[in-house]
Amino acid sequence: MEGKVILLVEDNADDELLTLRALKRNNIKNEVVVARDGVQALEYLLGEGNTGGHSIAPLPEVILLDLKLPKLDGLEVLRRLRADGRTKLLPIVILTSSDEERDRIGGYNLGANSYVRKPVDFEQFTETVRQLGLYWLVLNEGPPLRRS
Amino acid sequence: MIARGTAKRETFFAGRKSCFTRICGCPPFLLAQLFSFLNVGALRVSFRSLGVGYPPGGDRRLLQQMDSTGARQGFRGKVAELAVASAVLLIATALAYVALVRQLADRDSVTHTHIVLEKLGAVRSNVAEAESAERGYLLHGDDAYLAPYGQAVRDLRRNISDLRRLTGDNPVQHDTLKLLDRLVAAKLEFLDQRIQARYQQRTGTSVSGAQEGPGRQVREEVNLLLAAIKEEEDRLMVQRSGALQSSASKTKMTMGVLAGLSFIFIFSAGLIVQKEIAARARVEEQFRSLLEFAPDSIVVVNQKDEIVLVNAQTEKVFGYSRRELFRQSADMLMSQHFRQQHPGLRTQLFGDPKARLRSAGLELCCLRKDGTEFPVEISLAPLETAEGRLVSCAIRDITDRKQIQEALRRQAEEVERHRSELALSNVELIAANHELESFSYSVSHDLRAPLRTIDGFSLALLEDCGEKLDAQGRGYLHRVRAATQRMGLLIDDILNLSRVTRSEMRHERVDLSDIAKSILGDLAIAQPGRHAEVRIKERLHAMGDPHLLHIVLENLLGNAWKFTSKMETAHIQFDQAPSSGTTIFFVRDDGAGFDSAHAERLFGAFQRLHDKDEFPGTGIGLATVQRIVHRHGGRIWAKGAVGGGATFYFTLAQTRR
Repeated sequence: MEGKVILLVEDNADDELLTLRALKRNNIKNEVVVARDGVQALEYLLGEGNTGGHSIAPLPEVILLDLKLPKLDGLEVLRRLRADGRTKLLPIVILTSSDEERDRIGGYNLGANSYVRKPVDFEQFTETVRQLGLYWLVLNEGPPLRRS
Repeated sequence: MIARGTAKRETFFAGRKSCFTRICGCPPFLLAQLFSFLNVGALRVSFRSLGVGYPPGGDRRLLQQMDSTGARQGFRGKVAELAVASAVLLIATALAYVALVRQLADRDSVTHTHIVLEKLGAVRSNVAEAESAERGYLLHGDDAYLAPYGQAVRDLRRNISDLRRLTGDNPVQHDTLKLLDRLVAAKLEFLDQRIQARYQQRTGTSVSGAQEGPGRQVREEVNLLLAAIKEEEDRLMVQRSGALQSSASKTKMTMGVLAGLSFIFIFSAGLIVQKEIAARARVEEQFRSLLEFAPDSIVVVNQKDEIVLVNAQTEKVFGYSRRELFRQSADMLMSQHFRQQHPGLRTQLFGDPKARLRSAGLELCCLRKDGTEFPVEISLAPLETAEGRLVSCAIRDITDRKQIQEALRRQAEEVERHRSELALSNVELIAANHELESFSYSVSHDLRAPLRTIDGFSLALLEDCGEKLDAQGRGYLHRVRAATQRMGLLIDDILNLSRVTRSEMRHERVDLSDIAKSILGDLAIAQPGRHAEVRIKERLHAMGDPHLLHIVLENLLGNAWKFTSKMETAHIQFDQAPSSGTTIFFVRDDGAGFDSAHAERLFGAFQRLHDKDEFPGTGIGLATVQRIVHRHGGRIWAKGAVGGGATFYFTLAQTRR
């Protein structure tokens, strides 16, 4: 569990901070990589464009993907990841404010593994993050993915 | 000759007696029948020509009269009956002629007998005259007596000769006359001898011995013979007079019959002709009426483009009287524009007989007397008449039609304008809807994120720096968090309300009872401490969108659950109210109720009738319910009293939209 990386795609710094806080409070000590927009997320995962701050590192165990993102929105990121052989099977959890039907349908259509709405109540949010960590990092057996 | 003639006639009549008798001889009954037959025939002919034989009349009669085949058949029938009548008349005339001829012959023979009798008388007086003259001469010896004597002898000879000629064909009389001839000859010889003797005596020769002797005897014999002949003639006279009388009466009767027949035939013919004329006049009147009162103006034009006939409608439509139009150029009825623009067409229509004249639906413009123009539809048809080719123009004023067409066109334009406006509105509506969707999408994402931040950092502040704050400070932070969370709920409810309006609606059979049970079951699980008596009517069905109807019941039952929270035992009921039309459902509770004065405000968004601390809620639930009910074509209303519970009634349209 220690070596498993979580990729958090989140443009809102407050949400990033709160998510990290929730992870910490739930004793989830895995490395969390944060991408601030869709382009950064794709660069990290697929190495598109010039390499940014992050080196091409091991694939994350799970991606927590927000939908409203600058440059490339979450659904587009999802589409591209699912179109790429390397990330086709990567567990992706949409973690977003909205419960709009079109987002949910769009997310599942493009192959999201889960759709979780961020509650306004931070206690509930912390609980949500706890359960996500428990499920995806502990209970779930991910696909055998190795970077080629 | 007379006797032979009589015999011949008798034979003639004997040979034809049966025929004659049948027709004329014993006529009254048979003839009456014949007349009645002819008369009935004549009447039948006339009835047929009138069409009375085919009641009930009008249309059939007119049709039959218009049908030339029927007319020809009627004509043939009439010719046949006329031929029969003519034959009957001819036979009657022939019979009358024969009777007349016979009567004339009978009259001739009577006259003949009279002549014979006259001649007999003459012979008798001639003999007497001859004797008298001879006696005178004998007495006086005067030659003056010789002249009358010679005259009497000559007359006698001539009369006897005449008699012989007259009775030459009667053998009885012929023989008697021969005897008379001889006796008269002997008598005359005797008289001559006596005259001769007297003459000699006067000249010296004696006359004695020659007196009397056989003279008297001869005269008596002559008289006897004459009497015999007369008797025979008298017999003939009687016979012939009888025949004459008989033939005269037969002639009279035959003539009478002929006259009667002629009268009947002529009368019948007159009757037929009169009725035929009347029938024709009626037909003509009908056709004239058809033309006269036709709904179209009918103008008949000759080859010189002159108007020869118009009907009443023409006068009415064009404003001219018949007199003004007669023999005028048809141009006067055409609009100036038409005359100038379409001379070729006009020539074709009215002038050139070779042009194809039959046409229909030509839409032109005509000119009234007052100078106004009006649109018409003209149909032309050529008429071949004894006066040459005529053109019948049926002109229909189509002003009304044009106006209707124009009105329709304007309406169509209007409709098209409305349609494009609607299309535009629709585009605008779609754009607005799109905008609303984007808006709620943004609300969903962007309004909730800051709230989460506020709540999250408020809690972080409480957790990380809680000890640095006093109780009041911590209380403030709790209020911040409560407000934030409430704001989150409001946003969720507003989004739900907008989704209710925007979402696609399905229409299917929904079991409302099942939904109600599951909702109340969830509520009971959520608040296990509550004690409630729930009555849900089984099998309440409705047509509608299952998801939206779920929201309706969720809100109504949720409210009932919420507003009975203060009750020791809550009573909640879902049922349908008795109704003759659309089903009325209701949800009833015995909770806090509401002030019925504000019942209307219940369904407005953000309207609350209770303190939110007492009964939490956003005030959007019932607005959402009302919107869903309206989308289903139903309505919703509420009854209640403060502390007396509340009942929410709603209907859903029965029919699928």
